[in-house]
Amino acid sequence: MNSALPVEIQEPISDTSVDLDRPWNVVVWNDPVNLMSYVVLIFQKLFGYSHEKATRLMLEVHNDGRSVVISGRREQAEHYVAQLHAHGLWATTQRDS
Amino acid sequence: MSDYRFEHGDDPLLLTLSDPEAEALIDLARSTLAVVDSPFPAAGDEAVRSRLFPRAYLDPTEDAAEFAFQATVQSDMAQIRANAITAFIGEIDSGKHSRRGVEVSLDVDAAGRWIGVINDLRLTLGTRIGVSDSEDDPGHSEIVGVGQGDRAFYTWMTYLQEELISRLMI
Repeated sequence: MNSALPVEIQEPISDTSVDLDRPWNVVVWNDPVNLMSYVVLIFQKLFGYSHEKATRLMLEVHNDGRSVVISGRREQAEHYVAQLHAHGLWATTQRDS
Repeated sequence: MSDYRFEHGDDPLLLTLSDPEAEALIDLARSTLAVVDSPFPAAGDEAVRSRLFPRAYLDPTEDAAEFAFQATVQSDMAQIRANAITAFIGEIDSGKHSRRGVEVSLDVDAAGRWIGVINDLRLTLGTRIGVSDSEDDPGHSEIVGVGQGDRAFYTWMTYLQEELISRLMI
């Protein structure tokens, strides 16, 4: 086999590029201890949301049990999760489905 | 349990705690600090530790990322929490004593810190006594065998935190 000949490289079949495009969601879960007013305050403080948006997200958490409060790259999502944990909120991150 | 009250004025906020309230806050703050300071808390407080430092990933296939997350942030987060709780204890300890109890003066920054610390204290006590319902209705409790003192103290802290939040958001 002549190694000088160009060969066609078979690209692996993967959905990696698709995965990389999918953001990481930051999910805040309902908690029996955290006050509604406190959750609104923290959403405003951490994300700069208006009172109206923070209240809407808080009510999603309260009524639906969870809410995606922000999305981004994995590093950004972990940063926000850490900030939410530091303020006592129960938050996780997961790739957008 | 006696009332707390705020005195009017632009700034700072003057908070008066009865002596039993001040002692109960300091006791709970110290026991919360012990949980924050140790990755391996005393028996029975594992759930409190898990609540103060929850997982970032629910997906078990992300355990490596979870480990890296905890290794990266947990120490700093614990230190920030410990500093805030220590400052909180110091502010009560150095409060002005009067016939009504302990008067604590809080500027905006201190009031914000108190809101966070009281939230941690409520998470600690709430986890210990098994709060599972919305404490917006403190009279509704399914908990059996929980001392009325703990329940009343938890409820009082809820009102105190709510009051501080309302003052901060004016």
